Amino acid sequence: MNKLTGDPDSSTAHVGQFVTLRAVGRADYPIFLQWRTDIKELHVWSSARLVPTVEGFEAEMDRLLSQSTTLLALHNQSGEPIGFVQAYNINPTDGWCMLRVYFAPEYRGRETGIEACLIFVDYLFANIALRKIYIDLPEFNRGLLGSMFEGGLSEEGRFREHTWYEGRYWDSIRLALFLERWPELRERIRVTLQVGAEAAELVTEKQEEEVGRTDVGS
Amino acid sequence: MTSNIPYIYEGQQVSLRLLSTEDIPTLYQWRADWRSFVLLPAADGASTREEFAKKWQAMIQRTITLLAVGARDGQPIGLVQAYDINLADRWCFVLSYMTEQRRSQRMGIEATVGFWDYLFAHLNLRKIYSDVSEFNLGWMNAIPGLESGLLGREGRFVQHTLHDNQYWDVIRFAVYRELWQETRDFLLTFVRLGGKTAGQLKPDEAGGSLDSAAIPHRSPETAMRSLPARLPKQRRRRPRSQSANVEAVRRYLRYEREGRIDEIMRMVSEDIALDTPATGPVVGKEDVGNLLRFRYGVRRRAIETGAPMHEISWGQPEETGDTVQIVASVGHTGTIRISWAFNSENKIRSMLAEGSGELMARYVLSNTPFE
Repeated sequence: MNKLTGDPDSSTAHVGQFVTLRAVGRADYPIFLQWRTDIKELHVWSSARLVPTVEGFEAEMDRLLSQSTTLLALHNQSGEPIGFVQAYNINPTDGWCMLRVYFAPEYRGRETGIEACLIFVDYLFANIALRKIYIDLPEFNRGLLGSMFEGGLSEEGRFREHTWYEGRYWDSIRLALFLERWPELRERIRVTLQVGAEAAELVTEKQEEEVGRTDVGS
Repeated sequence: MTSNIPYIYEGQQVSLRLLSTEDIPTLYQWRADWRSFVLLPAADGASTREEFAKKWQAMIQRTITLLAVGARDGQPIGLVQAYDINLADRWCFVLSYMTEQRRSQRMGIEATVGFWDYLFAHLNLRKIYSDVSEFNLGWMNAIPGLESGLLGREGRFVQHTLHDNQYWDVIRFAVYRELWQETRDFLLTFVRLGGKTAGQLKPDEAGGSLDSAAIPHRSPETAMRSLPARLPKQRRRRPRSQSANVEAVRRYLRYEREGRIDEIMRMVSEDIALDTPATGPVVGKEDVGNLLRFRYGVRRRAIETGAPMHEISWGQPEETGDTVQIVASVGHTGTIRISWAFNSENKIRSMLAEGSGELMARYVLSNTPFE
């Protein structure tokens, strides 16, 4: 049983080094409501920038989940939900889908979000007959996926002055990833994440050593 | 019943009206045609007419969908649709569909242009997108300068859609409000006349009215009076003097300054004689088409760099050898010098533009539509 949400452990959980992805349940709606009603992030959810009622939100979520593949991302250390990844507008005829990624601000551009995307994209290519995945990123959100991930995608569109945010219009960038390119990009990201994790462990060990020496000295 | 439905746009060849439930069988027939499947808005998963009708009812709630009908007989020939309407960021997407029989008759372009005008006027949009498959770009050739002067390419989705056993790219175009305001008079008049001048129209073909409040009404009589009654007699093309090239540029710019859109249309659509028919050199319509494309291209680039449009002023053309040059000043932001070089047959073979200051543009034109 998941301590945070009360949901049973999901049989569809995908566990990574930093983050776990699992299916969304109704017990997760409160955290989604919290994200949904952040007035700085309304553009992610609603082109009309409307704040829903609780009842309206639940109906919205039911509809969203029925029309997409959405997985909740949980931080492995704390078990806290940190965001979600979503495939929508899945087009089986032409073999592509759109990818939406949302992480709480403190987790953007970090290894947790990058690994969540890695796991999810791998899942999509492996389990749905996709040739291509798109993601639309407003220019003020560049870096959301980390430069490592975004650098491996090709830019196929720049929609000028597309989104109004913080007092002005921003371009929106369409990035694309073909299936053929994915294995190489995946390995590069995995290696980089692994190296980063090992480096973090070394830093932590060193810090603990320093603390230990300080304690001994005092 | 359908005769009581109001028209949103009444044009020369095509009119746009609201849909009714009586139109559903026609839409179902179009959707069932596998050759056009990929061109129509989707009502996926609808295997029966009843399911299709339900899905279309739901789609119409979320979109603005108008039926295109022949202006003379009122028969359905296609549709136009605005979807993903985003009033917060003030843009939407537009698609147009014409039945196969009507596709080469410029009806689609008239329906599309009329629909753009309606959307800009009544939804206060800043921008209209269209996603067009690469195999379906031919309609843009109907109006010279349409792509380079008005439509911006903002995306190319590589191998995006499956059609006829291969994957095709999809191009995302954008029409901006500012450029639309600059070009609407020309475009609306051009498409209402079906790309023809009055001399090519039969007497009952002239006319058409526009119901949109944003468009000033022109009576058929007014339209006819400003155009020649018949085409000038075609002359065998003779090499022309260099001064004729200068005269062509000068004349074009004068027409533009004076707002004589009909004369510009004539220059674009037919060869015209500069002097008397007995002696006159002929200005090729392709050359003037190039001028038009370049002119709109300069305007678009000026907008992109923030130059105020009303401050563009053109100097007098000057000749040097086989080159005609002209300088345009753009307010205080800089100048642009355009040079046209003519070949031995006095056709424009290349065009070069160099700018200074904040306005920098470089175009080379060599008998192909430039970008």
